[in-house]
Amino acid sequence: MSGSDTIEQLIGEFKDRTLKYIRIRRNVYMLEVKKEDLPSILDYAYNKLNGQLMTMVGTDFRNQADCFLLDYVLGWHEKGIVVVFRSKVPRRDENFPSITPYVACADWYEREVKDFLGLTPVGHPHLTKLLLPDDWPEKSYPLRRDYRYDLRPPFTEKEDYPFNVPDKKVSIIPYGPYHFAMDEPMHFRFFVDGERIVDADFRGGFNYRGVEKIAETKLDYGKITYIAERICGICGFAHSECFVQALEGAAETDIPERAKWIRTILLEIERVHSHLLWLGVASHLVGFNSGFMQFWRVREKIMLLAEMLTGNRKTYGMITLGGVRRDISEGKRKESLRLIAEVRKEYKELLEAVMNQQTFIRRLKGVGLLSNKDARRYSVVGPVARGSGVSIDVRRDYPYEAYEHFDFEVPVISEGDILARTIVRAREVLEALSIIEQALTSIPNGPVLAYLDHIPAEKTGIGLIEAPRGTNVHFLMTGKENTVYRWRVRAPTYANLQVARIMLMGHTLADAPVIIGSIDPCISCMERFTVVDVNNGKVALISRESLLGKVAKK
Amino acid sequence: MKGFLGLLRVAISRGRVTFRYPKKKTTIPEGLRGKPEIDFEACIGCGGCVSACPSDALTFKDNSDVRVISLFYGRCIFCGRCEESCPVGAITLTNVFELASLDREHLEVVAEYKLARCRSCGRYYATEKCLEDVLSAYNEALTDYDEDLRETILVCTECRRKEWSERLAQTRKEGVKYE
Amino acid sequence: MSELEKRVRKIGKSVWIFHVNTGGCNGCDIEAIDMLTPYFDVERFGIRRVPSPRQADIFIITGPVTRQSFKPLLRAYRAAPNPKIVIALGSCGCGGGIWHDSFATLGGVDKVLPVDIYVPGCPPKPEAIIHGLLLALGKMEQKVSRKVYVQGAK
Repeated sequence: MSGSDTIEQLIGEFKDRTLKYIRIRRNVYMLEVKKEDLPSILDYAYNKLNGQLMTMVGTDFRNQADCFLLDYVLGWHEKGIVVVFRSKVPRRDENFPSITPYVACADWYEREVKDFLGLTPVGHPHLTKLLLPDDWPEKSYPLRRDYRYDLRPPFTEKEDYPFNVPDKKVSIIPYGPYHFAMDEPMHFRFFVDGERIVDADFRGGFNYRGVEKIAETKLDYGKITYIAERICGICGFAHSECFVQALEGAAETDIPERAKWIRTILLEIERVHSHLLWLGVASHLVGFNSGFMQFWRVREKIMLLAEMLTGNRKTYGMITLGGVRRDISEGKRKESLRLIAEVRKEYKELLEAVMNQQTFIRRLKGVGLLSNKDARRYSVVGPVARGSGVSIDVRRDYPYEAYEHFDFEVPVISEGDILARTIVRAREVLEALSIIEQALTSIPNGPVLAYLDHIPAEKTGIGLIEAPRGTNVHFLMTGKENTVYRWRVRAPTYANLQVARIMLMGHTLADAPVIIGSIDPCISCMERFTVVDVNNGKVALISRESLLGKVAKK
Repeated sequence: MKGFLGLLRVAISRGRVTFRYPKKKTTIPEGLRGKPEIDFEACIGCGGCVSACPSDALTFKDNSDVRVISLFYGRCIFCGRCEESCPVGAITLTNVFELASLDREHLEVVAEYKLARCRSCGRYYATEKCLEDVLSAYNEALTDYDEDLRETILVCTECRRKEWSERLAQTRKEGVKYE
Repeated sequence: MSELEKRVRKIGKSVWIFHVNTGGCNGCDIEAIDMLTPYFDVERFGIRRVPSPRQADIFIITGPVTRQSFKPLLRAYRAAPNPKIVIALGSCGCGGGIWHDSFATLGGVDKVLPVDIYVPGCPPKPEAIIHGLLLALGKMEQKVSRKVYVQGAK
């Protein structure tokens, strides 16, 4: 079996330190270890065995087992397996040894566990707030079970974030939260020397809306697909698909074949619309507005296709537990094939014209470099990884829905600059159009919804899919009476944005928007954005009452 | 320069694609998820749609002897769960999408339904139309039904529980005779 | 003439939009940017998107106003000169959406700023947003109105 040699190596190496070994599913394993052994085990698994850090979850399990659960999820794309390293953090001793000194990309995950559950990673190099605002009260941890979902602490005057300022004498340029080049609020702090960027720091949390808390307390399985879809407006269908996959995995059920085909078609439609959107935005960020307008003109036909199949241009609302909500009639199927052929023709024509534009190509070539070594070190995903020579794609490595029935290529380019990522995305559009055509011609007949039995509580499920921006990982623990006990969303931008700093260093200020844009940041997916609004390097403290007093009219 | 001429050729060959809304009417595809409409006569005030709504756009409140059901379009996410969960098909999604409004009041739809009293304790517990709907369903389904069942439906949950446990205790005391 | 009409008359020129995302999912934002693309082309009406709130006449605000974006939103609003118009876009903007009672949001734009036009939708179609803009300018009619039904009333 493909994954067994890595698993056997792991078990053999740590046999004396593994407390329990469970096989959750065909390719998902769980190893329970002591929390003190975490750094050594994960260092070996990540650095020597080349695993990818997929996500890290903290769960409040105090009512059930008097402890917190800490799960590190690592994946091996070449072998197609996922291993969950679980450890228990006892109630009175709320800390655990940090693995960030060994695994650099665990930085944000550990800060988040500190923010939301109060478990301190001992030895973490830069422990500051990640998602919560700076004026959030101490000892108040939202994701603990005893915190009410609608408890809003009062605002305070404090609006301060200690940025990582480098030692040299540099000027500070704030970027965001409301900037013309971005349609999402985010805050970067560029430290520049003349026109060159010396360093950059980032403060997130603007888009944090409390998705996980609402889903764990207020909603049930039927409603969570709708909130999952509204995590992000561009790749929302991917999130709801990932949730449902995790849930169907936890429940160990299968869905009808026709439903799998329909889900695949919609996932690829979303990929096409997302990549065309990105190509337009990237053109806009380098000043090529004609490209922006033309790419979005081609994109309109895809929106029409989505509206015809699902009833809405985005946030399709098609997924439900057990299948899909609407069927594709024969007339719609033929019309879809016609639209796809038209889109492909127009897209190829436009792509050829745009790729001949030297002004466009030169702005992207050699800019925003990410080496292969750094891409592996930080576990980046999606087109950012494939543009730096790392060949990972969840559709091929962990096949889900109907992907194993279709032929498609995974473009991988090794240069590592923005042009490489652009070409990867441009080729993926053509592959996606081909998958949609194959699916529409070979779709089997049958029902689209399956009846599901009762789903027992405390079952673990992991959903893994290839969203337009990269690997989307959802971790789920089922609860009683059709609710979830713990749901952890890890969007691809979470892993990718940590390398923005590396990509920005040494480049000019004019290239900064397109470098950040080349990651295709979907900040609402990331849910992590703290807004630190600073003008001219000074922290502006404004009292809420005075502002509201001036604003109140009607 | 050659590069831009290529793009210009593409743009000119496609021509003007602008869709002149509002002069031209949008072609509405079949199944567009637009504004939900309530058929007030058909609605029985059961509150099934309220518990199905993920964003609390549909809410209800019991004010003494009436139940006020309110639908606020501002918070609606147009998912269609209310349509799926309605037992009588009183709420459906139309294809109206032009919902801009100058103030919040115009985005609300409010319906009042009379509540019925519990036969035993006198508390208001369900709408009259809901009870009629349930009774007529039973009458259609089973022609000769025990009169007891009709009596069971006309009490609230607390009293029903009390009455059944009293009846069970009585049966235990007397002994059950099977014919 | 209503107060909104007076403000529009005072602006006097083609209106310019400033787009603020207070923590929404981006669906409404992408549809708002879609208005500028060739298919819908809102620049036919002279409306364009500006990079600074100092030049803005109309604020298009999406998102349920998260805790963090509350202060920057107020600063952006204060920076714009009077007369100005506020449009709340989408289910999150109009009433807070699915997150209306979450601890991390404030529940919609009208809890923070005075809103002139509500445009519901999730996300609203670009035609619906154009309808909202033209309604603000007085060029189109409102098509939705309040309905009240009382059982047994005449």
